[in-house]
Amino acid sequence: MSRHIDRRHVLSGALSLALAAMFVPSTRAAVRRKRLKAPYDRYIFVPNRNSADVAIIDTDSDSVIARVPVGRVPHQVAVSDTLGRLVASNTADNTVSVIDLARLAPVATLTLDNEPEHMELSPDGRLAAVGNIAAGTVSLVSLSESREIARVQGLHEPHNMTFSPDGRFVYVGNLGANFVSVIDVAAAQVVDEIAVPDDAPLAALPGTEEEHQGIINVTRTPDGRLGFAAYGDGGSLAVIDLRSRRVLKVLQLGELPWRAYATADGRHMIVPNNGDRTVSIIATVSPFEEVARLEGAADMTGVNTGWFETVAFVISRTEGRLVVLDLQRRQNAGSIDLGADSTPETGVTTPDGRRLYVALSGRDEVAVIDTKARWLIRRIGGVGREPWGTHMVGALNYCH
Amino acid sequence: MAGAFVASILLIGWPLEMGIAAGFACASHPGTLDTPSDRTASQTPAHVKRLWERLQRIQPGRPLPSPQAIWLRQCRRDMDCVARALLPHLDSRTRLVPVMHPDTDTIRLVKNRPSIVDVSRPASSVLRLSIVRFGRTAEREVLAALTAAPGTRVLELDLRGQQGGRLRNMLRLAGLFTGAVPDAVILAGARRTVLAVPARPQRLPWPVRLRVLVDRRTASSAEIFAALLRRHAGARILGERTFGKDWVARPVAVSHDWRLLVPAERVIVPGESLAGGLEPDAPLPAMEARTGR
Repeated sequence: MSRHIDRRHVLSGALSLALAAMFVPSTRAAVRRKRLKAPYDRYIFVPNRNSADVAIIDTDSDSVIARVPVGRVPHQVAVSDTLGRLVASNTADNTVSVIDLARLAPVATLTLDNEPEHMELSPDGRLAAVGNIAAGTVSLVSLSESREIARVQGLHEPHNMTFSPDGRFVYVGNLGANFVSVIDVAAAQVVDEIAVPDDAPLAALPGTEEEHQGIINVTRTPDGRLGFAAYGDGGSLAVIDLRSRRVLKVLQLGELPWRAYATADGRHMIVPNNGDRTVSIIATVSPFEEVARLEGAADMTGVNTGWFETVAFVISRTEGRLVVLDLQRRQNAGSIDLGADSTPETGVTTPDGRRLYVALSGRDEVAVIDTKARWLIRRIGGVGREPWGTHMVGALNYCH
Repeated sequence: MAGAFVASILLIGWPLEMGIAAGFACASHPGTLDTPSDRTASQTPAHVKRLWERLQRIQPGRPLPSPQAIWLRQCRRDMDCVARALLPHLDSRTRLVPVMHPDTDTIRLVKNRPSIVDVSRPASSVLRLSIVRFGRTAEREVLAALTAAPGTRVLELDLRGQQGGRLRNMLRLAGLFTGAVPDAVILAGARRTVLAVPARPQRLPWPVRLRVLVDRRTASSAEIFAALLRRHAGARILGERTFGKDWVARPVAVSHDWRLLVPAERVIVPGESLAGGLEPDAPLPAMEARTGR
C-alpha cells in the first residue's frame, strides 16, 4: 500500500516539476557569464544597439559565450589587451562603460559629453580618445585610472580619431568641416588643422538645410607617415604627410567618397564612393594614383580585406550583400548575398586574414565569411538585438 | 608704522597673489576638464589662424583686422563673437548661420531626407515631381517615381519655391537627364573652377519630354539645374523669372554650432543667363500659376 502511495507521490512531484519548468524563463537568452582568459585575440566583441550589451564570440567555436551589459545604445567597443579592459561608448547615456575582461565585470561608467560615438585606443592601450560628436569635443579617457583626464574643445562633429604611432597626436576627422584637426595629447589641445581643399561650394539661400558630409576619418599607413582623408562633399581624397602636416596630393575620386580603408599590408587604400556606387583603389606610394575604379553598390559603409590581401569585401547595408573585389586582378569578382533583410553594418577580418565577421543588424546575427573561398560559411545567432559592429584585438577595426 | 604698513600689504597681497598663482596653475595644467562656461574660451590659436587663412583665400584683397585684436582683446576667445565681429569686414552678403547637425542614422546613410515631396499626374501622360531639395537619394527617388508611372511621356520637375543646396548634389541629379557634360558650370572669382555634370550609373528608363516649373522663389542651384536641363536635355522652363542668385558661397566652420557662408564665385552656365534670374520659355497656365506652391 505504502509503495503505491509513494509512486503516486513521485509521479505527481515529477509532473509538477515538469509543469514548472515550462513556465520558468529559458536561460538561453540571458547573459552567459564566463571568465575570459587572456590573450583576448581569439574573441569577437559585438556591441548590440538595442539590447544594451556586448556579445563575446569565441572564434574557436564560433559561438556566443557571454553577453556583458553596458549602457544604452552602445555604438563602438575597443579592447585594451594590455590592461585586459573593454570600453564601450553608450551614445544614449553619454557615457562609456569600462569592463574588466577577466572577470567580465564593470569597472567604471564614466559620463562624458554629448553623444560619445567613436573612439580609438592609443598604441599602448592605456588611453582612449572618444569623440563626443554632438558636442564638438573629444574626451581623453585613461583606461588604467578609469577616468576622463581631459576634454578637448574646438572640433566640428568629430567622427573618427586616429592616433599617431607614438601616441603623441590624435588626428580627428571632422564630419562638419573640410579639415582634419590635430590634437596634441599631452597638451590636450587642438594644435593644427589640415584642410582638404577645396571647401565645397554651396548654392542655396541661407537657412536651407542640407545633408553634409565632411571628413569621416583619417586612415594612416602602418608606419604613420601618411594619412588619407576623404572629403565627401568635395568628392576628393587628400594624401597628407602627417609628420609635416602638409597635403601632398588631392585626388578626385567618384561622387561622395565615404572614407579610406587600408589593406593590412598598407599598400593600398580602398574608398567606396556612395554618390555613384563605385569603389576606388589608391596606391599608397607616390605618385599616389587611383589604380582602379570598380563597381560597388548602394550605401557602402565598410570594407574588409582578407586572404593575404588578395580580396576585399565591400559592405552594402541597403542591398544586404558584400561586393567582392579581386585585388590582384583589380576587378569585380561577384558578391555574397547575406539576405535582403540582413542589413550588414561593419565587419572585422581575423588577424590571420582567413575569416571575416560581419554584424547583421537586421537579423540579429553575425555572418562568418571564408575569405579564401569567398563565401558565407555560417551565421552566429544569439548575439543580441541589433548588432552594430565587430571588434577583434590585433585586427584592422573600424566603425561607421 | 612702516612695518605695520608693509605687514598689512603682505597680509592682503599674499592670499591674492596665491589665488592668482593657483588660477594660472589651473588654467595651464594639462588635462583639466573645461567647464561648460569655458567651452568657447578654450578655442586654440590654430583654429583662429586657419580661419583667417580661409577667409583671405576666399575673399583675397579684403583687409581683415588682426586675429589678436578680435579674438583675444575684443572677443576674449569666443569664436562665435569672432565670427560676428568679422562680418562687417567681409562681403555684405556673408551670413553667420547655425550648423544643422545630423543624427547617427543620417550620418551612416540609414536615414535620408526625401527630395521629392509630392508626385502628381496633371494629365494622363504627364508625371509631376515636386523636388524640394537635392538630397543624397534624389536620383533614386526620381527613378522610382518614373518607373512606377509607366506611360509617362512628359516629366515635369517642379522647382517652385526650391531654394537650392549643395552644388555637387544638384549636378549628380542633373546628370540623370543630361548625361555627362564636361564644362557645364563655371565658377568665376578669385579662382576659376570648371565643374562637370558627372556620368551617372543609371539613366532614365525611357525617353521623356522634360518641363521644369519655376517661380520667383526658385533660387541658386535650383536655377542652375533648370538652366542645365534646358541647355543640355532640351527641357522647357515654364513659370516666372527666377530669384537670380547667381553666386555660390563657401562654408567656413567657425565653431561646432556656427559657420560663415562667404560669397565666393559667380556662377556661369555657358549659353544661359542667370544674372537677374532665369527667364522661362513660357508662363504657366493661369490656373496653375494661381495654385502653385
